[in-house]
Amino acid sequence: MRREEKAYRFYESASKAVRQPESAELLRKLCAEELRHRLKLEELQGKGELEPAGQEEVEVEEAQAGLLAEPGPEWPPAPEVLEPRDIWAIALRKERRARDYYRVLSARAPVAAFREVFVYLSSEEQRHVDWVRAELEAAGGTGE
Amino acid sequence: MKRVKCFAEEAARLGNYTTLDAGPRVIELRRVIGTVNKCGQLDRDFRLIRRRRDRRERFRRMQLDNAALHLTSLPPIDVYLLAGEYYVIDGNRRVAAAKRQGLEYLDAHVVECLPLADREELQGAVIRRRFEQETGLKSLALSFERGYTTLLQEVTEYAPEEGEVLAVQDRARAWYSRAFLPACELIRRSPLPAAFPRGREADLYVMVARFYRDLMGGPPKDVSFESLLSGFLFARGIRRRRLLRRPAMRLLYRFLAPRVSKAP
Repeated sequence: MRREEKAYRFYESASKAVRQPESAELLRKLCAEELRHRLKLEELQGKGELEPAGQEEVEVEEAQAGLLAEPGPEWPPAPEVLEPRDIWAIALRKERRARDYYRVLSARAPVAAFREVFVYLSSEEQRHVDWVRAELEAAGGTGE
Repeated sequence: MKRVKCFAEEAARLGNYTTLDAGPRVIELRRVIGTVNKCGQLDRDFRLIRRRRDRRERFRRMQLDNAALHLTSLPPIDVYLLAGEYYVIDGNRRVAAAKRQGLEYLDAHVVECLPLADREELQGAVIRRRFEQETGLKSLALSFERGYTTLLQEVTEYAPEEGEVLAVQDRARAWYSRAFLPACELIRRSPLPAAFPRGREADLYVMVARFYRDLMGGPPKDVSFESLLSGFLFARGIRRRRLLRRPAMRLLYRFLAPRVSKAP
């Protein structure tokens, strides 16, 4: 849930920073998607089917999955000082990471219900990767 | 001796106004504070200042007192609603009898007076009236009346139990008791009322509903209101107050919590 919250905050401030209305609209859409994921996870937590993970536990899981390849803060706090291309580049990196993270969790989940949720979230993050890659390429960046 | 307010004088302060028939309602007796036809003749308890002492008047007063005691025998009065206060068109004696008996509520046919200069209030009243006519829900009060549009959408889109098909007003009642009231209870226990003290619980419900409509076209169907509220609080940066966040409580906890040995 923390991951989704950080993503929400990043997209929220980024949507106010970009000038192009289409990009702002996509960022708001990504905002809504991240909040939707958070709601889904909260609902599972509320039913007692999912335990809340502390920040340390999330980082241990990511390290074990080999996902902690890059140093520095997970989501930069100030997108106002970034160019739109930089915003899309950061977003692409993070969305890929989120997709891979949920893939790892779905492979490790002992319960079928959890597996389904993580597979769903992984496919959602893949959709975000596709959107963001298209925006980055349109802004002159590379989607690599 | 203090007298009841006079409708003509109060309406003159309002300027040009229009009327909107609000239909039969139950009104609070304490908000009935004026009269239309008997200006200057009634005291604060709606009694004639110069009382007639004849037998006919005493008999009429006794009849009304008995009717008030039985609670169901007082016919509805007719009132104007002006700036949140009621002015009696017909039924001054019934109001006097109700006050004598200490009643709190009264049946009334209400006509609302709205200043033409205040377009926002006019629009709000029209929206509210439409909501009441379509849903039959008259007791739902909002401080910000534009919210009735959102509430109407909520009622229209409310899905009752699977297989249950309801008429509009039955669906409205089901929404009110199964969705709206439980949601208001959750809102009451949340930090929202402290964060927005001017709003009633219904206004805060509208705020949450509108947030999800603006952001994602409406709340996800399979999510409880508790989760929606939590999501809203997070998005707005409103934190739930935890007892142990307070420094004094944390210090106390540090001393009182059992110390666990870290030895292997």
